[in-house]
Amino acid sequence: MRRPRFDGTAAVFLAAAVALVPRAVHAIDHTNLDGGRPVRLEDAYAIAHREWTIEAGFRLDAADGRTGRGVFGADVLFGLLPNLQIGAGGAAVSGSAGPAALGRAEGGRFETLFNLNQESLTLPAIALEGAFGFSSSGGDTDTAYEVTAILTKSLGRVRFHVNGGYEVAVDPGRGEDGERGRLAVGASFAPGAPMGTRWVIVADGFAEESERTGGDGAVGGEAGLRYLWSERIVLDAGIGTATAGGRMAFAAGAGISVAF
Amino acid sequence: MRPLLLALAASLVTVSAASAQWVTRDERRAPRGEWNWALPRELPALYREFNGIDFGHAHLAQALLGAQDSSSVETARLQVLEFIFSGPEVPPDEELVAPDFARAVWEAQRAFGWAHQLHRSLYDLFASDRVEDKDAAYRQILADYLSKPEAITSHALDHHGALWGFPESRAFSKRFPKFNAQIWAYHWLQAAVYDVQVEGGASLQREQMPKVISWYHGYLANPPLDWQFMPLMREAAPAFAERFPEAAVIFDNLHMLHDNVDDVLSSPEIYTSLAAKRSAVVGILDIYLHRNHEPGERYGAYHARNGHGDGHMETGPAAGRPMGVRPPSAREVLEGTAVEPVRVTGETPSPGGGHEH
Repeated sequence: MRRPRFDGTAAVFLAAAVALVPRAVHAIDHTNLDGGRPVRLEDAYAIAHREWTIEAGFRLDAADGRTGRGVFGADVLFGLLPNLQIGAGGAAVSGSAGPAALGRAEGGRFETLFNLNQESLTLPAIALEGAFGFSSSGGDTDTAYEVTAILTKSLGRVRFHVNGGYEVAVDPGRGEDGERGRLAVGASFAPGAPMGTRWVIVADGFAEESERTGGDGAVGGEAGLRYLWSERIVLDAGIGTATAGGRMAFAAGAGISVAF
Repeated sequence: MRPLLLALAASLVTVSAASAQWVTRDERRAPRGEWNWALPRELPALYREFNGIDFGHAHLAQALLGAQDSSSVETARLQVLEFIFSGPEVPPDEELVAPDFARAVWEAQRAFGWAHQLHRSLYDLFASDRVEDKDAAYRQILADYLSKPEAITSHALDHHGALWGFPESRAFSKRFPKFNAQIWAYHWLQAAVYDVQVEGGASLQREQMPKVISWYHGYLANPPLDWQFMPLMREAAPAFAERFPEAAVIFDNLHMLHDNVDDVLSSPEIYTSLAAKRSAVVGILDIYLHRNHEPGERYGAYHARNGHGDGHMETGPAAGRPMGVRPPSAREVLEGTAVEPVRVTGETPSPGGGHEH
């Protein structure tokens, strides 16, 4: 759950969103992917036990050829136990012109990720993630719950990731609940490895059901770069696009992760 | 979408049932303290050397898991030198440098990582002028280190005897003597700098450290082939070993474990498959883990009996083996009394050249 749920046309923005709402990165193991930094794809590993990470990012959205909105988000994560991280964060929107106004990016979320194992020669790394999100619009407070299973398996120095999630949203304003599944599949690799591992490329393709029965699902793709600026700081940037019901959306964003 | 999720869940159950190679990741941050990050702040040149050494260990492991012809291993050795002399500003991602080793024997990678974290914590501590009671902080760092299941023991082990009496022992040094000597040079630097650090604050360390690093670079350019055994903490850093004996023993054990692992990886005639290599490494690692020595002792036969923490010339099938020329202490290097290493010919990168990271 990168952010509180979106609906209608906003689903396009959600789908296209090139990461804003941060997740953590290990100080040294900066190839530890986290949803939102810079793409939605994440790997099966938690941040290190006892580590704190602050992440922040900014994203620009556009849809149907019109300027959309800017979205700012920040998260804090903590390695509560070995292989278990918890986190909290939020996002805010600046500007509401164009179709982006249909979306609701504001809100907060709490989340936890538990990594079950280290990838081996035969087994993928496996993680389970749970999240709770809320957002407000027009006096209503919507809530959403999501469970995601994450697999990471490598071939040589290329890491492949599968994120499969299921979300249940409650919208008292509309008097209806919604459910939807999400799937993201992608890969990450450091083009300079083994001699250089500071740059990491990550890309994914994704599909999301509409939370409304009979609604249009969204499909899209993202690509991004991560750069290990120092042992504690990772910079990232990415772009993405998505389509839902014949409507296109684009997004571009950048962010930073600081571990301490 | 839901069938996909069901399939994903089913695959989770399937792989969960596979017990082979199931190991937890267990990454840990070093203990917090005012000393954190002091090394890169106060001694950035030394910090970059250690980043290079991290790469060196990982790249060697990956190279030994590949084709072990002398040409490819020598190429890997030269790549390590290129990396070191590039002055890497950040540590490498060792899982990307040595992906096969990390996936095959994560238990060893985890133990190495945690011990290297101890190294880094202590370098930070002694580079920090903000911490006055270094001994108290040392005890805190040490206790935290030893409390974790992947910690290497602070019990002195019989390196030169029981731990060098395996069928594969010395295979790496025999097959790849230059690379072996280069690895020992890393370990000499990792030890020697402690004696510079315990002598004074960051300013004095900045003044003295270049000479020690320069001596180390001499070893990289001309690997110390006349050494017959790894450098010991009490040789390179006698003052530190006297004042902080637990850490000194841990690091000697760590460096010996590196040698043991390299010997396994260099013995394809004995360990013919990756599974066999994994089994051997995990078995040897077990001897080194602190939790197998306290509170219950499982490997008493591997303990040193000479009181020096290394068991040299004492026990086991390797007893009495000569150790060859021994490395100098940091003090000897600083005072100019250290013996220059024997020169060997060969092409070797030098400081100033190299790859950009």
